[in-house]
Amino acid sequence: MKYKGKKVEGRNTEIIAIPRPDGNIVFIAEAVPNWEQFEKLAPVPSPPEKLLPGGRKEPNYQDKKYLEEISKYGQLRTDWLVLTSLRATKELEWETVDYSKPETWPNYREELKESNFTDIEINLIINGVANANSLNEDMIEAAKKDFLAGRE
Amino acid sequence: MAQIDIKEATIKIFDGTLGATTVDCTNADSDLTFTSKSKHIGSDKISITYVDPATASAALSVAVDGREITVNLATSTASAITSTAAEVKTAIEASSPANALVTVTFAETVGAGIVEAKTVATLNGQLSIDIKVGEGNFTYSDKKPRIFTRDRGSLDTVKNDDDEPMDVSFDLIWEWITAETGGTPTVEDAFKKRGEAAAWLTTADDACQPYSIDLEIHNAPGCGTADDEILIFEEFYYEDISHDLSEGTASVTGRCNRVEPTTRRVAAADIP
Repeated sequence: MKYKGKKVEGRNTEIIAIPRPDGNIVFIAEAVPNWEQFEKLAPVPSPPEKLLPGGRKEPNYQDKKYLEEISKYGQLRTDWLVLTSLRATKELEWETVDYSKPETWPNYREELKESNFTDIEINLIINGVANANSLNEDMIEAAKKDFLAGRE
Repeated sequence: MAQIDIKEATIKIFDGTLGATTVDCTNADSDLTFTSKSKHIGSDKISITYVDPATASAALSVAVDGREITVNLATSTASAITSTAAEVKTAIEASSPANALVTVTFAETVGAGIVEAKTVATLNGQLSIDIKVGEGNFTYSDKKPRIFTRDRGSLDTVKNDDDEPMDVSFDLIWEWITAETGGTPTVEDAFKKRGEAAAWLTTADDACQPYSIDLEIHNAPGCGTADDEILIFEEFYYEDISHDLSEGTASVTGRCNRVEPTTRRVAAADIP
């Protein structure tokens, strides 16, 4: 695909610099192209079925375990997005996260805390990931305004 | 005994599969598999948690609260976890209450790897159905036969007679049936080990005995801070069953190879 005569390549990236007296820590967040890998590793939980009089079966969306799984699934999506986006930071190594094991994905938050990142810094990193993945509505709106301004 | 409004209760039927879980840690050879020692666990499942004490030079210890096993991991002077899977296994086996609940085996080789903090892992696997009751009645009677001996015509000593199995019956209209895993068997399937319940295992300790299940009444009053009440009728053998799937009715009578039900009171939050 070309845009304005130039081949469109590369993904949206965001640079998040966290100042440190002994050298700044720079995270690079890159847009995640698709959710295929996530869906393979963490399939959407499906509700159990309930059997009704008459032999009819229907999904039991109120099942306590299913509701817990759905809640965990939402958090896992965010964790995976953060970890996958930050893989663009070549120097970054997680000690307790295994990309192939979803149960280890939430560990990155603990690792950041153990490395003395403040809550505000952790939010900056997560916001950077959101920006790289065009999840920031303000940025989308700004890009739209910029485009429209160019047309005037 | 507290009066149970059966409309607020769930009747559960369990098979005899032993609950199990593998605590999967990051390091090589650090995974352990925990298996329940009892077939009669029911809803109040056994759980295991590894806790990082986050202090320096902590000793490895095991605490048991009901069916919650907590392993407090050992740490170095630099507060790093030092407990290996083998050490965790030994500590659990040395704890009488923990050892009474679970068997621990190495999931890889000899458990030489250092474990890490792990959130609650529940020992799942027991097959079951939950029957949401609309209307109905559940009755049971436990008997305690005694022998009264007279001395020259006057009452004198009393001895316990032989145990009698407990009679259990229920007659109810159910609203729906759910299963924790796999397909959803009907009440009759569960009692007869057929259809969707063909893979169910007996709850009898002796595999040569007829097939049996465990019945559980889980009463969740849902008011204030009252605990849930759980009654388990272990090793139940049905003797008469009539079930109308189209009407959602089930009428069952039978006996347990026990003299009385086991009862537990558990905080609702502790039921996974």
